[in-house]
Amino acid sequence: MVAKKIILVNGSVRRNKTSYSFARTIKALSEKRDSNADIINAIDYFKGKSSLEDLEELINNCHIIGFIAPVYVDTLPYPTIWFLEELSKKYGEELKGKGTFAIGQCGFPEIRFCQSVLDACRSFAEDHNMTWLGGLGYGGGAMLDGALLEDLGKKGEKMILAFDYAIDNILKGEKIPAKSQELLTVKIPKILYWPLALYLNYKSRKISLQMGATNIEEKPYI
Amino acid sequence: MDWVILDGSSKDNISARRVTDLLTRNLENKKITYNYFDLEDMNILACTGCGSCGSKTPGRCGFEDEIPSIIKAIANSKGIILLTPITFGGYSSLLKKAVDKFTLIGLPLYTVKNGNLLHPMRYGYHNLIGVGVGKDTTEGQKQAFKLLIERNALNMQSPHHKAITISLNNKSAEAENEIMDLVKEVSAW
Ligand SMILES: Cc1cc2nc3c(=O)[nH]c(=O)nc-3n(C[C@H](O)[C@H](O)[C@H](O)COP(=O)(O)O)c2cc1C
Repeated sequence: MVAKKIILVNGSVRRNKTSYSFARTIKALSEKRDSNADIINAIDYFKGKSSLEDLEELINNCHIIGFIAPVYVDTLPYPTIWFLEELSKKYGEELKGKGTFAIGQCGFPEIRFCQSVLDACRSFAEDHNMTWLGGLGYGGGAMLDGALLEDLGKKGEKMILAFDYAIDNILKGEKIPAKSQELLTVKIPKILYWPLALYLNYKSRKISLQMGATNIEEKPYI
Repeated sequence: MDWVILDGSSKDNISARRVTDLLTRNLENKKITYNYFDLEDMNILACTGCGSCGSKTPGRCGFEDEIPSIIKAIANSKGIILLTPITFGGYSSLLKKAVDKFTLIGLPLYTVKNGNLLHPMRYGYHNLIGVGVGKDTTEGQKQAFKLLIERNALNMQSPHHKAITISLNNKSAEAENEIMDLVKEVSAW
């Protein structure tokens, strides 16, 4: 396999959490195959800590760009959309022909809630004549809270395997296989949603009290 | 006020602003009241995902910006109209800076409705309308925009929701008709 250069865009506003954890696993899996992956944080460009001008060389030299982002109110976070808009304006031409893929992860245990994140990245690829290599969704990213996948036992092993299959195809310029999504899908029977909701409510109320709030259901704006 | 309009188009996007004008004019003709927010002029900080609004200061963002005026208007409205140039099949960053803060209208609690695990809402349930404006928007991106509105409506458990996409290639009469139909439909909600 020809070694590839990949840019992995961490699309979270939080630099070291779940999106980053996924990105670092994908970086390691790429490097295991003698490819090179750089992780960049969309938030650093948004905040002006990194300059978009400095991306020129990285973009010109890369073969593939991967977006790994959380779901914020059903789609990409504001700073990540801003980052894509800026990439479009500055590097629209340079992006042409490069491969791209996306991984969306959300709080609720439902992969379908990641669909609009994947749609946004696919549309970005379409706007710039990039080659769409597919997308993956993960439901339950909030519970991971940035944990390293190798520390998650059997569950983590399954996730790493899912990304391993995905990156294997991506580096060959092929679409992410369906078995990656199957491995990444946590199947919680719907019957467990109520007990889960009650447990999460108990936890939320407890944390809020510990933080000194007396009424979690307060309506400050009426 | 009946509706809150969040305009995520910039003032130099003349075609999108024409749709804004069409919409407000048609609402006024039907005597439907609205609160209009021109997001380009507003200082709304990016959500940092700190979680304060859920636990420490329920319903309030820990950072000071102009979002409280929008949340106040939403709390007292029957619904939200999101206006945006269709951007990568979804919202412009201008619109999304306000939409990310919709977490302030949700509770950090959970409920189950029709088999979906969801957050109950802090200020009751609001209707949702999405108006996406685009030039050469592909069919796939139009569908993506509609799905996003559907997902937001599910998240907010909106009693009614509707998404329309207006092509800027359309003759102005077509855009006018689409907006008129929309306003006619929502006036019954
Ligand atoms: C402002 C905000 C909005 C969110 N909206 C959603 C949502 O609509 N659906 C969902 O399932 N999770 C939602 N989440 C949860 C995040 O997607 C989840 O916590 C994710 O794992 C965060 O990724 P990160 O650790 O990389 O920052 C939201 C979180 C925040 C802070």
